[in-house]
Amino acid sequence: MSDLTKLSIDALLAGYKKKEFLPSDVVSAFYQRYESNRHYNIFTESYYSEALEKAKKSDEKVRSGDELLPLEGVPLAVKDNFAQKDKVMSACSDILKNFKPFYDSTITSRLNQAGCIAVGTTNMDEFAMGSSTENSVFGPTINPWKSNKDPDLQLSPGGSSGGSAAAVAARMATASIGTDTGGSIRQPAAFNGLVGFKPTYGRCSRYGIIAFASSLDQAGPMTKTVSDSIKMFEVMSGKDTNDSTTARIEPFRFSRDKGLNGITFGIPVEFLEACTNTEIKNCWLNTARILETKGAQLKEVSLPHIGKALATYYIIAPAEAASNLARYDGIRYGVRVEGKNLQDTYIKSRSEGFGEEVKRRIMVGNFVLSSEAYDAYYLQGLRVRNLLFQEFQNVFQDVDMIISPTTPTPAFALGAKVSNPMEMYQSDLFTVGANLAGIPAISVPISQCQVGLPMGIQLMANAFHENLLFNAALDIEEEYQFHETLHKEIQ
Amino acid sequence: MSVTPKDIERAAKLSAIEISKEDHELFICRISRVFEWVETLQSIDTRDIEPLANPLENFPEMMQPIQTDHPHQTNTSEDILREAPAREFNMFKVNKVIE
Repeated sequence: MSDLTKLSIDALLAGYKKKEFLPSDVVSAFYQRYESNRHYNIFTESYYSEALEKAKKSDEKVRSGDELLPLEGVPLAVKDNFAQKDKVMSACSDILKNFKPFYDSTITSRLNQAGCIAVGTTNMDEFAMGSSTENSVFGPTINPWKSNKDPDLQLSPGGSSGGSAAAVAARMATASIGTDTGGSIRQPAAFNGLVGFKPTYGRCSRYGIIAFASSLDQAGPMTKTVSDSIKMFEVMSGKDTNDSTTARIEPFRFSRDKGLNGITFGIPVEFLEACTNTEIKNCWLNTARILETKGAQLKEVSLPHIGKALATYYIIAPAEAASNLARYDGIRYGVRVEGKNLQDTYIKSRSEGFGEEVKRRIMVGNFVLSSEAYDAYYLQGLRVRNLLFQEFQNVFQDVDMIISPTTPTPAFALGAKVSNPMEMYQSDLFTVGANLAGIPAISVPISQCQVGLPMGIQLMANAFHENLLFNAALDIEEEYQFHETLHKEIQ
Repeated sequence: MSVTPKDIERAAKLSAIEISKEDHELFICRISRVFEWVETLQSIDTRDIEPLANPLENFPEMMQPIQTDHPHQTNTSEDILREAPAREFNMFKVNKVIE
């Protein structure tokens, strides 16, 4: 029997259909991987034994040849900001230590109903604020990839969904879910050699996900292959009466287009200037050329204000976070630190419960929302956001998709950027535009840089044009077959 | 814009967060750097552009209409109180508010 932890969702389902192995064999194999690789610090909590019980029920269906669910017996890792009934969800913050929700998020509920088996809750930056999974009360997650130049150096898995990315790369689950507010799915996917997908805003319900910045947050899958990403998204997408910001559109259904003839990819000139890493730039442009040889056309495009996207994001996201995180006051749930009066209790609970980065963003947010700064900062931020949206729309008049690197650098060392938040923020340079404009984007792993670390290519399309993205992502994947490299490199 | 200690105190007060004296300098330094950066947005001409709070606003056909109300029970008081740090008589227990 092949190593069951290396199989894609497609391969798992094919194996179940042929009765070559059972869901419980798969869960057990992942559990062994987990036991021998705990030092990566990927899970805040694991529940493989509970998963095994669920898998045994699936075993019966496989044995009897019953029709299988779309994700039957697929082991899943869940970021620590999705509510799962009676399982601790803390957003990796002290203020929500040991908090157990009494309901399921729409996304985890849909995935469970489709047959997924959750095996563990994954580490993340506190309240999803960060790009390295170092701002966590559980300590940092270690990227399973190693630099061949310095194999002892511990690398960051990226963030904020770093635990979810490392869980799949280190083979502790077949797939995982994360959330993406400025690049928090795509950047860790790129750092771990995975496919990471952020849907159009409104495609996936946010019900039961801890809110960070409500107009930017989207949930999405992190997988070994593009096909797995599609399968997950088909289950996750669709409107939800519990989230009024979900779009009025049917759940996504994929259809394979015939080749890339007639498809045009835009290369933003501003990204050409901003991309200073030669290896990443060469890989990006090589991938574009490969698409050209497959029949696509390439065109230089311009997003004149994309250089202001990060600054815009650092007004809007903190403002929304300041409002969303006002609910953590130590009264109804979470940790309370008693003060001498009610206001003092709020202040003490929040001051002791939140980490430094979270406090800083809440303060920036409340500052830009204060009466003196509201027009000049917050409203101006929202106007620049609309300007960026319009610039994306202009580009999509000319081209079908935008191709760019996912990240400005490959994975960096743990500790390298914690003392310089501004440098950390730059990790989202290429990804944050898609969140502001609400458009879908996917990161596809392509090749390794000189020191052996994975690099990702990002594709962006207009809102609700996920089918285009997945088709092009499949074409890129056919060329590079990166999941084979992943399994060769991560032993 | 340079952020003053007074600005930090005000932002901390609005946020119901207490910054220790030792952390004051660090917060001023880091928040100032964010503001210097954010300041660069001021020069962008946005006179004819509406603020965009929700990306779906630009796709009105995708926005959900207001739903009609239909009564159903989801959260019971026991569910809601289960995670309370302090409770009494089926209520959240807080400090005395009226002196």
